Amino acid sequence: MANSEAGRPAATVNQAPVSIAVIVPCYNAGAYLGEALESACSQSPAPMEVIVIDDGSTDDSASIAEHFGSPVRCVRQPHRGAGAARNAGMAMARAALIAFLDADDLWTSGGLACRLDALNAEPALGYVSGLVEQFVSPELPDEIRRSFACPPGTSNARALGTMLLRRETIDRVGLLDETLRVAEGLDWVARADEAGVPTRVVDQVVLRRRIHGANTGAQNHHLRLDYLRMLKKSLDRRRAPDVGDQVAVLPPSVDDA
Amino acid sequence: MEPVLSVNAPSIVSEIIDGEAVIMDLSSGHYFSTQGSGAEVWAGIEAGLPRSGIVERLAGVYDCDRSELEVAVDAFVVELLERRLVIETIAPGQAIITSVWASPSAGHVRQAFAVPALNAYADMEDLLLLDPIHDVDAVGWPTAKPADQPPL
Repeated sequence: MANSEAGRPAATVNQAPVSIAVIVPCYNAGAYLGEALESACSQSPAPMEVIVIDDGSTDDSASIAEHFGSPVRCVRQPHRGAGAARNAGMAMARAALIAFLDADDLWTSGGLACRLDALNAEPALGYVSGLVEQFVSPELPDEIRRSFACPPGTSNARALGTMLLRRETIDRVGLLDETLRVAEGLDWVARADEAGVPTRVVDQVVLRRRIHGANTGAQNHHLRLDYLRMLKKSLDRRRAPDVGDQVAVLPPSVDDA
Repeated sequence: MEPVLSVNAPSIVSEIIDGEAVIMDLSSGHYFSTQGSGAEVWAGIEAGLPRSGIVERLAGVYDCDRSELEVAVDAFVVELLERRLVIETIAPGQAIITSVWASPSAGHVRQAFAVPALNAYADMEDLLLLDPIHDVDAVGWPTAKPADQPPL
């Protein structure tokens, strides 16, 4: 099994896996996927299943996932976007709890356990999330690394990669909106908020978000539209007559200085 | 020369969807929506009109005293400027587009004027500040570093 050969810390095998499925959408992330999977599989307690949805990669991503070993399994599908990949992963998952990890990001050691503890401590919570810190991918050439400004500190952003969700919460809020290319996580969080799903943020960094600049400027227009449409959908939902006005409106004047 | 208005790019991105301008400030994570004739005013700003050009066009669409239009547009633009969603600049030699909407056809019935208004929201601030649009936009992160920022 590839995992044991990788020399995983002994502590990670001392606790029985818990009923958590980690969904890893992957599209041409072969350079980072192995490290991401290792960060998920080395959690203590370990997740019961790690499902890589290879979203039509043209690199060696699928092969890396397929050869990683238990509890990782890989499913290939035609390229349909991260939202569709995550939804496909959730449909296959058998575990009671669901977590997400992007193929280029990393979970921190202990990041899953603290979220699990928080969720177990409060049965009313629909999901918990943790903090994110960002890092510039170390393998990049210096001239590229220097061109990025990595925000210091941590962020409480409720990114999908920080969440641990109960399956019934997904049943309640619904799956991710596959028509959104990048804002499907924000859209889901907005819908969960609108549905009044109780949540809590664990005051611990659980996700390290990799900055590597693989996206291209050509996507800008579509990305902007995606976010603005997500916001419009959220505004429309909250203004619907049966929901009432739940929109938190800022005071008339905002000093952004 | 009367200053022209423009969207405060690249930190401000916007789209008019179903007659409502949805505006996002990537630097603050705040977002905004327009009411009334706000989307039409925003369309004029996107087209680089001066205030008078916007009033001119609204006067062709709405059944309203010009002075009332001027007051309403001024108040709306002032709020947009205060929130740094738009900027006002003098651009010598710049061709000013004076018509951004189709001219009313003969027999066109002018509508009752709906005062432009702006709603501002901060409820997704934490989410919008992290998300990937910042990775790929000229303004967001990973942004080009400020000149005084030390290298990694």
